[in-house]
Amino acid sequence: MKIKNVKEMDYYELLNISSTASPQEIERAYHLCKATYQAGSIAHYSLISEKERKTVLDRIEKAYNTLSDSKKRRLYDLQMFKSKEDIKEKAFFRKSMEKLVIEDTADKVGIWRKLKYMLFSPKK
Amino acid sequence: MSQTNSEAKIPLLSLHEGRNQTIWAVGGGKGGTGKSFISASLAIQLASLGNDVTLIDADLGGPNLHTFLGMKETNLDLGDFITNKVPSLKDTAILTPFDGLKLIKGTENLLFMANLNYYKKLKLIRHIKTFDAKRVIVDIGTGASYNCVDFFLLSNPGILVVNPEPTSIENAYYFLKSCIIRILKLYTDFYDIQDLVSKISSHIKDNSKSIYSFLNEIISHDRHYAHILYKALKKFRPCLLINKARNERDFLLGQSIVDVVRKYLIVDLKFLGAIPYDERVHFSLRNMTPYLSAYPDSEVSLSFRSIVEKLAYGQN
Repeated sequence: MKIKNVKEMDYYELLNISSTASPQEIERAYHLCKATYQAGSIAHYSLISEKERKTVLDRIEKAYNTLSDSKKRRLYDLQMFKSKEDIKEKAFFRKSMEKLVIEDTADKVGIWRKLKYMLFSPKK
Repeated sequence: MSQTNSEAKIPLLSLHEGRNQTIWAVGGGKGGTGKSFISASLAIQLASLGNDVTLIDADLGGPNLHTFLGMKETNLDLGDFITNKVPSLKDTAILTPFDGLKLIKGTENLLFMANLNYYKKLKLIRHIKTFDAKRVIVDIGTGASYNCVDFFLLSNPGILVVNPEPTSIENAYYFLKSCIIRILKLYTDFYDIQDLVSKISSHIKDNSKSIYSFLNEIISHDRHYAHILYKALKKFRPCLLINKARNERDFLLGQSIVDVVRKYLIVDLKFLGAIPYDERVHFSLRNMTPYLSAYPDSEVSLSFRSIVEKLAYGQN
């Protein structure tokens, strides 16, 4: 059993996303977390101190900087999950998914057009 | 809430595992957040979908669910059951103007009911748990007294009602913290772990400690029982409902509260959604007409429909 406080949470736990989260999911989670812990937000009212709030916000920034950069993320994953075989597989799966998402974002219709062509184009 | 056979004997926790019954308890600590309005509206909405629903007014110090349902006078109430005038809680259930919906009205003898003793409360909780209705909705009073917390803990799930205001959020956190301490206390009493009981008692007096540091203290003291307590806390999965939301920011606040509660109170809250603010709620009360009947196609009514579907049928 491991009960973690915010300082001990890994970046995925901190942003409340899975280790296979897509870049879009990371972006969304980052903006929500940032809004939650920004000064003047009432979401944490009376539960955490100003010092804790700044510490969490700091870690959220670091988490986002790492996870939003695919190279940094890969390195982080490798360091994080060194001893966990099953998570290594997930990270590999994410890597391949990520490639798909990037292709998709660069040319939104491109990949679907290709797929449609592959699946439904009349056979020669 | 799944429990081991032995843990099922803990008297104040949810024990209807395997029973075809759901109890939703609507609470939240602060007064005026709209708990009774939400209880009444959820009940009307659930009954309108063909369910057999009983609404219990457990706001012992200030019952007024009957007014939300547009009912002026009733004969029997909860007090008749507590004072043994009727043998069973179900004898106090009265018909309402809504098909499939029954009400157990709170009593007007407030001084007596608001200070219900432990054995009377246990009797009431036992009857609620074995109540012969598939769907029971319990409206809980204001504050984090043992009565309020215990009614909240008997539900599956409890619905925490919060307004997008610091006062309401603050009270909701204290309410959740009280629930956590109560669960830990019930478990340590049940397992008769006296040294942990004394640690919990000292924690209740010293509210400055975080749940995290408190649990870690228990882990260092006794790993086996710490594991049992941690599992007990993880079974506690209340839902969050934002009421009187005025904009998208208020809706997003719900997700933010879920995040803060997960990180600082180690509890997994489920965000059900937000009910928009509507001035007509006030008018419908003034006219003694249930809001859902007066404005069935409003945003508020549609929100209730989606929340009931999410809660009762697991639809998103």
